[in-house]
Amino acid sequence: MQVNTETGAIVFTDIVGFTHFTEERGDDVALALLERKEKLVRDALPDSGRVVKELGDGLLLWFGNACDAVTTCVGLQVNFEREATDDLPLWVRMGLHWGCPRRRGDDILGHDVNLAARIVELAGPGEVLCSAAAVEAAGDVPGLRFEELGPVYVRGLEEPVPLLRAVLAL
Amino acid sequence: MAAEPTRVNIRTRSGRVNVMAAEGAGFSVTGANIEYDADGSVLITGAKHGANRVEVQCATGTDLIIGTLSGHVEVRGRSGDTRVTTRSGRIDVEHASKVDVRTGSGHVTIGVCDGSCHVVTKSARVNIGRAGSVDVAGMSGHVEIDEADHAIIRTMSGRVDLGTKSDGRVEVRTLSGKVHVAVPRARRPATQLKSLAGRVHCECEVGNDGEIDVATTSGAISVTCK
Repeated sequence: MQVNTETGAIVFTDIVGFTHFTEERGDDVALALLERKEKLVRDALPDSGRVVKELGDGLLLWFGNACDAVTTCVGLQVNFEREATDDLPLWVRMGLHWGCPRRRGDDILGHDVNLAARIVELAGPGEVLCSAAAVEAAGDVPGLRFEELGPVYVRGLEEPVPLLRAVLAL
Repeated sequence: MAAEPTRVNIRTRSGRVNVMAAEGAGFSVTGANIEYDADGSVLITGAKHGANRVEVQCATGTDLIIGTLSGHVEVRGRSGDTRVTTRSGRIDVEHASKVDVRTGSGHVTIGVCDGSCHVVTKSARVNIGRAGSVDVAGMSGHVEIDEADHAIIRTMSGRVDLGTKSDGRVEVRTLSGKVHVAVPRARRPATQLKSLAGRVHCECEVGNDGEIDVATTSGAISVTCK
């Protein structure tokens, strides 16, 4: 089988507390929350981005351009905040890494995908956490700045990973 | 005694990290390796395997970035911008100009934070004494804040106890946690209190002295005067 690799930005999104939300509010409301989030994501994707796959309450996204990835993710958090209601709280966290995963059909896999999945686990609702590799690839992003969180130990990796938080430069 | 760094970066897998930020303390490190950066910061690295104890003494106001896998992180004295990330383990920060703390589980205690205090946790109990602005996000665990000017708290199921001290805005969102907000007796805050299934009780007179906005699905809400 031919193995392809592609360099780009890998993004995981996750709805914080979705299991608990479903338990409290029921399946129909949970489904409405999920669909609201996914519509906002799909509407915001630039030409360089695509949804790789749906993962329960999360999404795996791919961007060919790091600057597009960071700008889209931070823009999405602004949209989530604006669109959230008490009934549908869009508490979404995002983890972003720049790497060179293997392609398997439309899917992507490998160490860089695993690392992006670990990064999202450290984010709080409304946050976009980025690896240093992603920040370096993005360069200067107009309207945004990056706050260093330091070396962070993530599950399954021996060495700590330098992480930064992307925020609006107000 | 080494030159005093303006920023100290500590990384260690497991074990206890003790930092003392004190006036005239000088800079010293025990239990770890030290590398100096050209920008005046210092990288302190603990042992890669096994638990160890890292002790750091630095000047008041030093910025700290601490990353561990597990173990107790304790910062005494007055530190600068203090950022701690750990998978599990207790975190204690006595007094910092600014705080960002992330932990999976354990107990987070912040004594005083002059500026913004950001805590992200999965299940830790969070205690904050006094802070300018607070942003806490947690899945479960009791969040207790004695005094905050502004606060945004989002939890799934933990109890929230919050004291306000000024005309700032307080926003609490929780699914099933009980929420209690204590307001100074002379204040008359604007309130928006909404619980789908829990009891809502407010003993304060309503006015325009700040804003209290609480929404929960099934938890009870109470606003009292202190």
